Amino acid sequence: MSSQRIYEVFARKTHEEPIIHVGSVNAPNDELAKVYAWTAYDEEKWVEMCVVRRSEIIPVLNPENVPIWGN
Amino acid sequence: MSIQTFSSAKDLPNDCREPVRSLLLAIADTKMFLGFHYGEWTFGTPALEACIAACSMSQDEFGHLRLLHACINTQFGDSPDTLIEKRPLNEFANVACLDRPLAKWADFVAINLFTDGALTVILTGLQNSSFAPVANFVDKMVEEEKHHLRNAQGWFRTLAKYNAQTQAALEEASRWALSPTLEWLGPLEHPTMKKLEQHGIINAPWGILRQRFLDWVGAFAQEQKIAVGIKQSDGHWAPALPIDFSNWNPAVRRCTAGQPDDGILYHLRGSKNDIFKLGEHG
Repeated sequence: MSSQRIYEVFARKTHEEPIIHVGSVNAPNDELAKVYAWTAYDEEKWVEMCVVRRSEIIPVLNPENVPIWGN
Repeated sequence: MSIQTFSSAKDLPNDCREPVRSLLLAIADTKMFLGFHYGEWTFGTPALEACIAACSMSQDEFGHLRLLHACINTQFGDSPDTLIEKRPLNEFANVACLDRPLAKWADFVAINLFTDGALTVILTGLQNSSFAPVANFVDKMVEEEKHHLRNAQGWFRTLAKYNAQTQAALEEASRWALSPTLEWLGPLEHPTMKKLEQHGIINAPWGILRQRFLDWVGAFAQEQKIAVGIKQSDGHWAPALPIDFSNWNPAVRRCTAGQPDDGILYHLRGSKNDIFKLGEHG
């Protein structure tokens, strides 16, 4: 559907580890982004997972418009 | 009043044993068909991520089916082989809208919201059940079902807003799925379900569980401006056209005769690969 957004997915396996970027999903809204992140990246037993709209990320260092993450 | 707990089916009061078996079987049958449709729609979804979610939900449903069949087998002596392979089609107690292949994506969203949603409300009614074999696994199921409902609500909201075509398809699919789902839930009061309540198998009267489902989907559909064939009166939601439950059969949870499509059972039974089925050896 044309109203899809890209969401970056972050997760960690234990509370002691830093949260890391595990991938991205396309979804039309936040609710489906959560489902898609949960089902697409279920290879680990994560203790925490979150999604962030890529458009909401403010780059600090982003040379020459190269995407922060590929899709 | 303290409720007695039952560690196995043989401890259940005689008048309660069959109602418990019937309910577990109806949930298992519905989960089996939901699992089939979710699995089939792994291919043909409108987005790649939706296909992964459909596949994942299918795995959940078949996992739940295994747990339920193991419980029915251990407690009531019905083997999975009997339940899937040898049962006549007209004895399956699944929600009738799952009888045939789904025609369109909106149908998938509708069964995901209404049929899977109704099942989840009933599962919440089995939490802290006095029947220990069920109480042991139902929390895990409810937890996994939260993702199914999130998927359903997310897609329902999306189709409801996207354009007039998706909105019309969603409305049609919702009516198509909700009516048989309410039929499966049955009447507000029925002697079979009364037994379940009396002995603490379910944690609330059946009518309350049914109303909880109606109030939830009624408010949600209204919020999305989708007319699904139920109306609000005195603060509660009810079918716009009352369902005639006079011929309701509690064994299959239907008002009229019907059965799932032979072709779906052909796939669920793995009939095509019959020669590869490995028998049990002692």
